[in-house]
Amino acid sequence: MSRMEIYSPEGLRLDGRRWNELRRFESKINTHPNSSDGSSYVEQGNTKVICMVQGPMEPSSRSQADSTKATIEVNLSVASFSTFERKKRSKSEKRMVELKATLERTFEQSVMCHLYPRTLIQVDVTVLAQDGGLLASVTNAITLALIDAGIAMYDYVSCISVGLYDQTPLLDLNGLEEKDISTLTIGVIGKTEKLALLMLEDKIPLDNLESILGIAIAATHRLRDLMDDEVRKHGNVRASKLAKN
Amino acid sequence: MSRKIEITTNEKTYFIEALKNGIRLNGRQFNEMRTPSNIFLSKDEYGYIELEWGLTKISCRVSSFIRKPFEDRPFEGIFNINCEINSMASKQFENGKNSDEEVLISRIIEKSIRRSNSLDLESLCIISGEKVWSITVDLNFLNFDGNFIDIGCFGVMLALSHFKKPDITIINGGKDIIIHDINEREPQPLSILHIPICLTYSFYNTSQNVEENIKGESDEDAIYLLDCDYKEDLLKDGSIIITLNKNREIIQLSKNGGIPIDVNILLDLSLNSIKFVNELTDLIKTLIKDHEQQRFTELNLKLLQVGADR
Amino acid sequence: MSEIILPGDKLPIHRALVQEDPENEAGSNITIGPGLYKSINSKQIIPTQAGIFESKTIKRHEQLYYIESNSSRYIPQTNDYVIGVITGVIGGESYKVSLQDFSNPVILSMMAFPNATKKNRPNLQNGQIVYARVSNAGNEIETELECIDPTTGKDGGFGLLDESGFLFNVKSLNYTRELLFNPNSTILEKLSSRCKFEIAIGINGKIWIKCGDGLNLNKMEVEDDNGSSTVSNDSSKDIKVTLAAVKYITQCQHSSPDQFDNILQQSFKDI
Repeated sequence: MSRMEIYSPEGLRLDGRRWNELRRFESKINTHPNSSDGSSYVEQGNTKVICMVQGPMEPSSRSQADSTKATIEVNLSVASFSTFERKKRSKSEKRMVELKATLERTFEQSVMCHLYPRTLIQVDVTVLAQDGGLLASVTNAITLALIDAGIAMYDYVSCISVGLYDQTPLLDLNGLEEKDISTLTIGVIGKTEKLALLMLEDKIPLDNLESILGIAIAATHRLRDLMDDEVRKHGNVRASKLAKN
Repeated sequence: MSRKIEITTNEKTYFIEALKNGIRLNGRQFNEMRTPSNIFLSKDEYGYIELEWGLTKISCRVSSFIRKPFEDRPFEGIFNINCEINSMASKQFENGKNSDEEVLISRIIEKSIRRSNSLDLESLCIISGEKVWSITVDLNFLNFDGNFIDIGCFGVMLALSHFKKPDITIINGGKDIIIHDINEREPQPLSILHIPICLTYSFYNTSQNVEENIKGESDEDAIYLLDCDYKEDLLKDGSIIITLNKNREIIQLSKNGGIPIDVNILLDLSLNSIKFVNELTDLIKTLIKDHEQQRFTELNLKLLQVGADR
Repeated sequence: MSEIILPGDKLPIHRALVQEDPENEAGSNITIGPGLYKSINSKQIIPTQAGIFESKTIKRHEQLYYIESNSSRYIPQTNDYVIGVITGVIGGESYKVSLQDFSNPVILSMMAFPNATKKNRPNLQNGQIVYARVSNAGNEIETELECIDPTTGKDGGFGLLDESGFLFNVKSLNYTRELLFNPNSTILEKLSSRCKFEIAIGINGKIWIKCGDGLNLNKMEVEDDNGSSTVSNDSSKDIKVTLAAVKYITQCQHSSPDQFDNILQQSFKDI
């Protein structure tokens, strides 16, 4: 691992990208029109995520019903074949619980929950393949699925991971890079500079924070456009069908 | 029976109005921490501390034993932090049940201390692949008055600095070891590489209009409080936890939901925090130093010293 | 007469009083209050709580015995004055009210307000607080509150406590009883030398206090156009005074009467 060059003097990364280049981002919405109210599929490089949204619907238990707002429940399942080495992951793992809680709390704020009192919005996420930026891809997938389900939101929540190699920020890390350098994941609402989600797990110098955040925010704005394009494309297809009838 | 503390509209409106007028209900400044008080460093055993921070009270114990290392890491000792929150701290925490909140608290303390390599694991190795020290910190929360994370992290670091493990001699050419009783030979302190300090900022939206805040049109309505107490904790609209050390490194950042925070505010808060990090780090160092000094005089260790101080 | 009594102790009362028919023997009626229990079979009065035994002659031939004890968990008794937090609506007919965190909820019927009819109902939101009387507390039925004086049918001081005041909890229930019922208590009297205030004390450990004019949210909005600075200054001062008063009342709970002046001085020193 250590023999690999994360960032070559020529300015190229392991997979041939420059420091400020995103991986291939592909998304689809309405992938499971029969089984769910809203669904999406997101690929960021080799990280692949499927997300399905049910609701707003009646909660299965009374305790989940809040008389003032909707409850959001995120179920995160990571397929055991999602990594190179097959590994079974339990949902009660602390890391999984943390991710789940983070996602739930993030979307509680960006979805207009007060419009759907006493209901449950259930979000089921399946991670098919992992290659870095897991939290980011999951967040993007949930955003798209919520939009597909027609649930009222303030704006897109777009999320990206950024790393720091020496003094250079590297955008959208893949799995190999993520293992070696510290990663910051941020989620931004719409085209603002407001952070809805923030997670950094390894050391970075305080003075580099500003430059990392700068590039990360620019990237989230770009991602928002990419997601927006996809949603609009889908919308146009539907609209054209309407016109024909 | 409800496991929830009811917050009345009176308390909420009063709290928000007070914030608008620049007053916290507990009389502190917005970025003023409570100071730790009644700090107890055990004299009889190494690695047991208790402290109070406002009304929040914790106890922290470090224990050690020798075991075989993990196969994939033969040169590294084993270090675990075990967080225990039960209804002793407050009735809102249920016994034997790990709520999301509790998992988040222990995850962040673990990330701040364990993941950041604050404890030098390689120095815990005795015979590589055979015997290493396993260090476990048990953190117990005795009373809840907000801000478990900052206080827990401070407590764990204080306990680790206080802890000493028995001295060891390797004999028979690296096959066996002798563990010296602490009364026989002066035990060794752990090698701590840096002291992470967690700071939690809670934020509050004082305007009625949540929308504006989320869309980022108004900033001035958001208020950030450092080291919130239990009432502020119940009323918070979100929080951000920044972990830093004296070397100006960010060890961990996390914001789990809550109202969005502007990037500039995040940068301001982080830069501001350095002051508190320095204060708290120095506090740990002076506490340990004073304690050592006291022990030295009380046990009359001077008698045992041969020659001059090194 | 004051004496510490523990469960299992013998009560320091006249021998005749525990006999089957005390009225004829000693010539007086006995009323027992909290902390005492009359065993159904042996007709004996036994203490069930630890505290100070109090004995009072209410009228001629009528004796009142009770044990003054201190606890922090409130158990509703009929005719108690309490402050409750609305936490929900049950069946569209009554409110669910919390008297203390982690306690059983109690019921406040929407009809138990002055002038309430099927059509004219009170409109209370979750989180609002009411001053009420416990109208019905028993083991078999759910505890009920009412916001009405049953003798006059008027509000009698009960009802919604508005947002201009601040609500806080005190741990010891004994202290709230002291504030509310003891005419010799000087705590509130002393406070009145420092500020004008309005107070509602619930013996379930909740106290609502409004100093000066309290928070006036509506007024602030109206006057924002022509003179906002003066108004906000005013409310800022009232907030400070209220907080000082809260601090004073909370601290007095743990101190002896001769320290009250000192605490008052301390609490109000910034104002």
